[in-house]
Order: sequence, then C-alpha cells, then structure tokens
Amino acid sequence: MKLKRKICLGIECTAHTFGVSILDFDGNVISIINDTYIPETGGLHPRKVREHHLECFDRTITMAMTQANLSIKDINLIAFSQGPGLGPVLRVGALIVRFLSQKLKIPLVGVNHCIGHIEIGRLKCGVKDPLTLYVSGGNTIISAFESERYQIFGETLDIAVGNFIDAFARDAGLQHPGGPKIESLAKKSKKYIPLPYVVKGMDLSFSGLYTAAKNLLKSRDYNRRYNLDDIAYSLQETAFAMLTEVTERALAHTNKTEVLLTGGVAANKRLQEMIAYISNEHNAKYKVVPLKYTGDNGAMIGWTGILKYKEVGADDIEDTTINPKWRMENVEIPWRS
Amino acid sequence: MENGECRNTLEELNMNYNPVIDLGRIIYKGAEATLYKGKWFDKEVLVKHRRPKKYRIEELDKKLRRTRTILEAKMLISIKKCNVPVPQVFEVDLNNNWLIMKYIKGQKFKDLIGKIDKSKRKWYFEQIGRYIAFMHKNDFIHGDLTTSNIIITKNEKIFFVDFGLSMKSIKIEDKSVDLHLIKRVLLSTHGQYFEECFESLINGYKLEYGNKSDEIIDRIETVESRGRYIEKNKRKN
Repeated sequence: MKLKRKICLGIECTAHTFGVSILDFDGNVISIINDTYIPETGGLHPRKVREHHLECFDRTITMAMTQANLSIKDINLIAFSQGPGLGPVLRVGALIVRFLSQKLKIPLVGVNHCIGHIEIGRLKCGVKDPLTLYVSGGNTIISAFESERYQIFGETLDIAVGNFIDAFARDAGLQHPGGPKIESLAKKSKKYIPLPYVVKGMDLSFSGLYTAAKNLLKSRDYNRRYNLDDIAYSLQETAFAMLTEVTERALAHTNKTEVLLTGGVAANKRLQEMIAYISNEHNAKYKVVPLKYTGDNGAMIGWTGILKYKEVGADDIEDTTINPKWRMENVEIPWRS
Repeated sequence: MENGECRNTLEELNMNYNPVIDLGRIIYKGAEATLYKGKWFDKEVLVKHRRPKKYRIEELDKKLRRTRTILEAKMLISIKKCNVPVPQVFEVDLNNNWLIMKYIKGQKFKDLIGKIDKSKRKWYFEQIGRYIAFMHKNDFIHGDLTTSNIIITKNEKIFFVDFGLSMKSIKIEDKSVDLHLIKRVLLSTHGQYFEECFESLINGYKLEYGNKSDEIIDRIETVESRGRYIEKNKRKN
C-alpha cells in the first residue's frame, strides 16, 4: 500500500510573480509553476499586476495540479505570502487562498516572503545557519538568525538594488527585466566611470547612484567618451562592491560560517563572484540558491508554511490579513528555537 | 629665512624622505583594516592599514581606501583641536594606505566597566559625556560610539579611537543618533549598569553643552521609536 504523504500548496503573490508550487511535508518539490507579469512599457503598476494575477491564478493552479498528478482535494495545507509586498497584489493572493481554504476546509498559514527566501535556501543548499544576502527588485537585506529572530543587520535606506538596476535599464531604453541585459552589456566593457558609493555602517543607499547613472545617459559625452556598456559596467561594479563590503562587515560582526546569496539579483554572475571571494577569505561556506528557487516562487512559501504549520498549526482566518510592510525581524521563528 | 628658501628645504626633505617604519606585529584584524603595533623612527606607534580588497576593481578600491584614510586622519586632527583626547596622527602614508598614530597603552573601557566601583563608573561616564558634547558642539559626529572604542590608560585618561565612520554634521538628528548608538551598546552589553551609566553620561553631556542639549536628548526617543532598532522590540516583549 502506498503511504499517504502530506501535501502543501504554496502560493506566492507579492509582486510581479504569481507562483504556485506543490510540495510534500519532507520538502520534496513536486511541481513549481510561475506566471510572471512583464510590462510592455514602464515598471510594475500595482493595479495592472493585480489584474494579471486575477486573470492567471486559476490556470496556474490547475497547471501545477495536473503536473503533480494530484487533485485539489489531496491538499492538506495552503501556505501563502502575507507580506511584505504591493498591497493590491497581496490582497488578490489572500482572497484566493482564503476562498480555497474556507470552501475546501483546508488549514491556511500566512508566511513572510523574505523568510521564505531564506528557508528555501537552507533547504536546497544544505546550509544550517547562514548569513543571508537577499537582493531583489523589492528588497536588499543582510540578515542572520540571532536571539530567536531573523535580525536585519543591514538594509537599503531607499530603493532596492534590483529596483535601481531595472529603473536604470528602463531609462536606457531596455525592456523589463533589465538586470540580465545590464549584466551582458557590462561584460563588454572594462572602462570604469566613477559613481557615488554610499555605505553607512551596514546600511546602503542606491538612490544617489541611480541619479548619477541616469545623468550619464543625458550627458553630452554619452556615446562619445563612453557608451552604455561602460555605464552598465560601472554601475554594476559600484553597486556590487557596496553590497559585498556590507556583507563582509556583517560576516565579521556575526561570526557566521555560512553565506547564502538569494533573491532575483543573485542570478548575476559578477555578484556571485564577489560574494564567493569574501566568503572564502573569511573561511565561510558560500552557497547561492539554485536559479529555480532564487526568484520569487511558490515553493519557498510552501516550505516555510510547512515549517510553521508543524510547530504552531494553522492560522485563524482573522489572522490572515495582509501586511504590506512586514519586517522579518518581527516574525517569530518557532521552528528554530 | 626667505620664503623661497624655506620651500626648497622642505622639497629637499620630501624628496629624500624615507620613513623609518617597522610594522611590527598584528594586534587586531577587522573587516576593513589591520592594526599593527610597530615602530616609527624610535617611537612606538599604531599603524592602521586598510587592506586592498580584491573583489572590487582596482580603481574603485584605490579610491575608497585613499579617501577613507584621508578622512580619518583629517577628523582625528581636527577633533584633537577641540580638546577631545584622541590619538595623535604622526603620518599618513598614502602609497600604502597607512595611518600612523600614537600607540595608546591602556585597556578597552568595555573590559573595565565591571571591575570598578559605582562612583568611579559614574565619574568615567560623566567625563565621556562631556567629551562627546565637546565633539558635538564642534559638529563632529563619531559615528561608531561603543565602549570598545574608548580606551582608558593607567593614569585614568580617556581616549576615543576609531573614527572610520565619523563625519561632520550640524544636524540634531545625527547627534541624537550618535547618543542613541552608545545607549544601545550600554543596554545590550552592560545592562546591569545601564541606568547609572547613561544618566551620568547625559549629565556630563548637558553640563558641557548647555541648554541646546535638551533638543538633542529629546530626539533620542524619536530615533528609537522608528522601530528600526532591535532592542526596543525586545523590551516590549
């Protein structure tokens, strides 16, 4: 007789990705489907993202179910991203999972998106207690587990690094997402143009860097003395050196022996190289989360939901309201204490 | 002596100038810099070396290390002028990014706090408060005020060190943050003495700064209430 394993449906819905994943309680990912909103022009408009997710959620969940060869009735737990993120988008996610939970009588747990990134990294990379550099379009956080919480040691004071790169790419006429395009342009150049480098203790600021890079595009020297490749190279070198310096400082401060790199910007090879270098220098184990799990996805939400459910059980429906500005240090971590 | 002659002599000196320096041994290795206890001519000195960082491109690395070394030296020299005891800068070697300064024999205040009696502790904190007020009155912000960055000598003299994060600012906000930093350290590291220590520190600060200090001290609560800081959450729970 086949043993009945417990199954969790994880739903990620904080920003441009509507992610659905089905995984069992041992952390084996059975299926993982993402539907990402790509704007034709401009950035992410919350209302448009919401419309996209509303339009695609049914299809995406069904697809994940078919791929896993399961029916919605086999699900034992639903986990969803409760925050932080774009308000209207979070609301759609909450609406969907609450409906499913109420209708099918399935327990529901809300999960902090940032902690999801760390937990899936711990599961998939075999690290126990890492210092995490989480860099994406919405967040830039250096965090480690201390006094029973994921404490934030450093973070951005204004915009996230991914946001900065995407916004610059847009100004330069490149389409969303700009990160990979900037990375390939940067490979063609070796000419460094000085740009503002702002590190305050363990915190960072990217807004000045963004303005300076944008002004380079408008300058008279653009396409004469330097071209887009040079700017791409310079801004990557500056921004990533800032991130690496702060990570190194946090590493020396916390004495952790593992470094985990995650989030959408973690896909950048140059950033990986720099973080690997300092990890090596401090004799720390360096891991980057596999590409499938670095960006926003349902599996990270599902897995964190499972961890939480095993310790403290499901959330009451009253406790599942969204929290767009939820800081990770305010979340209790019962599964690690 | 005429001006021209004077310059010539100096130029000559500079050209033939070879510092007699022996790095000696490493006494501390931080994330950014290494501290050596060495010899400069026949003086015992502390050399702060900002190490090259291979992860960033050379151009950026050189620029950063150079500007930070210069900044720290400048701050040390100007702060010394406002009667705040800081190590004297002997030389800045920009080829190697060495900051050569006086070696201060003593121990970290952090290690001393538990060993002295209450009245002594109060006296120290009042003095520290006064010195911080000296700095703030002249618009210098230390930026990293902790009990490990304060050195006490055998003669009970207080020295402030590590100005790597310091800056010049006239903002009340920055001064409050500076005070908040030391409050945070006192709470987390020396919790059992917190009340008396912080009170004496603020007393000393007020005494030196005068009426204007009220606004700065009141602002500390605003800085804390922003919820960016961890200790506050802990206290609530």
